[in-house]
Amino acid sequence: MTTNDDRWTLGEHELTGRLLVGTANFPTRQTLLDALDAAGAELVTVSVKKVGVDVEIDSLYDVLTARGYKLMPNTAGCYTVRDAERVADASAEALGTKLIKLEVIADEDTLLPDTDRLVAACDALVKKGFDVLPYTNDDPVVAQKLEDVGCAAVMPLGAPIGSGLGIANPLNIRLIVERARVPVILDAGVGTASDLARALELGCDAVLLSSAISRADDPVRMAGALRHAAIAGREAYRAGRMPMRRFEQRYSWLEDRARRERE
Amino acid sequence: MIRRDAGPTVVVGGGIIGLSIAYELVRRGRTPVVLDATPRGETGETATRVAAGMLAPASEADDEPAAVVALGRDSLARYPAFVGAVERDSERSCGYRDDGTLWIAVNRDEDAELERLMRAQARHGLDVRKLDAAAVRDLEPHVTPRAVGGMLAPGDHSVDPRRLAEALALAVRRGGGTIHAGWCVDRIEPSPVDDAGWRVGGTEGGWRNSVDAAEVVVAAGARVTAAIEWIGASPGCEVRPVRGEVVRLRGAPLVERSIRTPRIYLVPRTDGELVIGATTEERGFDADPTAGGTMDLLRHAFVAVPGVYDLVFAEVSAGWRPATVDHIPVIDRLAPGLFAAIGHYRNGILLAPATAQLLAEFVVGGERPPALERFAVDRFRSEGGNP
Repeated sequence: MTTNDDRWTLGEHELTGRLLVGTANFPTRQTLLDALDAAGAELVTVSVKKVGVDVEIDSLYDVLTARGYKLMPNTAGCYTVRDAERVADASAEALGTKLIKLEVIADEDTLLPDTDRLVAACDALVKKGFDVLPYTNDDPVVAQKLEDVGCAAVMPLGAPIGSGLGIANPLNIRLIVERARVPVILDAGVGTASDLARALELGCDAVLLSSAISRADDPVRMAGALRHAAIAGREAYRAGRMPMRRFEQRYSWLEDRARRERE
Repeated sequence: MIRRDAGPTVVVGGGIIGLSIAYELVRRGRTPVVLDATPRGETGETATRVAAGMLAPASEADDEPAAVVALGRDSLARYPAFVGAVERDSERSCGYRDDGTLWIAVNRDEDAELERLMRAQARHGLDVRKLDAAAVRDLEPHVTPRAVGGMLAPGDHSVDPRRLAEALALAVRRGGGTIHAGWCVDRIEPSPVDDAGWRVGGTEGGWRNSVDAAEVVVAAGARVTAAIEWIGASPGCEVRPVRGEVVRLRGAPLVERSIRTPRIYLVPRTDGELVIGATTEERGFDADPTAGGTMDLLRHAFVAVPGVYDLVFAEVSAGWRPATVDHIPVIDRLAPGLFAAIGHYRNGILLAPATAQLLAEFVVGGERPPALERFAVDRFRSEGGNP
């Protein structure tokens, strides 16, 4: 994927790539495996509630681990904080990781998070020693609270889960990125390659997506496209884009350089 | 291929695939012995028992592999003659219907999903028609008034899998075959007494037993990898169970056709049963239906056809779809005299006639029919293995 000088840390893992992938709702097991390969994924999420941990044959956990993917359990399917805590404990025991992606959902139709209960649940799980990655909305105030209680990263949505609508509020995402001292991972809403590149250009450290691949007409081809988009978006961010300007002003690279030196 | 007289043809598994293969072998003059794990008088937790019996290659086109869609169309074309023969030989009805499937969308998001499904079906050359809300209501007045549109697949049929399985069993026995219930096969190995034959071992009624066979056809469903040690089995034959929960209701018929939404299907029977399915879960061999699974099925059914509210609750059951890693069945000869027909995933009922007739040709004639090339076990080896 990207060059090795662009490593970043998430919990106990060191990663080079900026694309994280969810593993639910793929048409076949083989499509999932081919798509993860095409995406160049390193870290993938699995719902511990929905995918049995002690399955004898072809357990998804065993198959993914054998192929070298790092696993991040998520609490998809949990409706109460108590439930999420139980799932976190069970997954830590079964998978041996302290990483947990926490979803506390307010509304079954939109799957938007309940931010009050989310902050409280993160507080509780951080105190129990977990590396908590909360799925949250794009409110910079909530993102700050989540960081303050000790979350290992914040994961704001671009748009509701499964909507494929892209980034609804890029200004808020940019605010979250500028203020956060932990990694910011855009989670939910990415529909296609340009959405992913946009998120990384806004300064997100990574993007987590699932439906963009699993619900594309050709999931494996889309996964390949997303891999390229992740490289493009991240490198464009590192390159420092040109300033935007209204075109009635005359272009002057000296003015730009002077402005940058003043900042 | 020289017919060996060293023993019978043993079929491991008495589900829809095993019984259909046994029936086609009987029609070709063989006397197969079917070994089925479910004890006599009990109902097994099997896909055949739980399945709704939709025969719908069109409706599965968007996320089924092309090989499965093609075999599905072939099998659907064989179905009327197949059922006709089984009904004649068993003197039992199988509940075969040719009323088609009506897909409905209850909001604009679902309508967009139907558009996408139509594109996939057009790629396969399948016959489907888009309908507006008024046309949907004309066809099926009990469908929700909130439906914004729909799609008709007139070529879809349905059958009652439980009645078909019973009729097949009867036809097999009348044709000279035998079916042993309560026989749990756990081992298949080369026969110690016959160079060319096989020994099938297992437990019957708690006692160890074995049968020597000239040929073995393995059609053992979701348990084939977990329960049976195959000496000489090939890589790529691993089958995992994918659980499905199904609800059955009963009452006055509300719809003429199978109704489908992006979430569920409802399959009506002439006797007033309505089958609602299904969940898809990776939960190993856990057999108990859950409150959530049942609730989701009923809720989505109510949204699609509000009249289900007043139907009587008859049954909730869970079974396991047998899944290979690419969700394409393995229908092949693995070794001289050892055949497999496994991994039919969610299409076992639909694919039974084609599977049975093509595999029976293979067994009796000795040559692989061209239609089975895409279901060969070699596809795993040539791709570098490692499913």
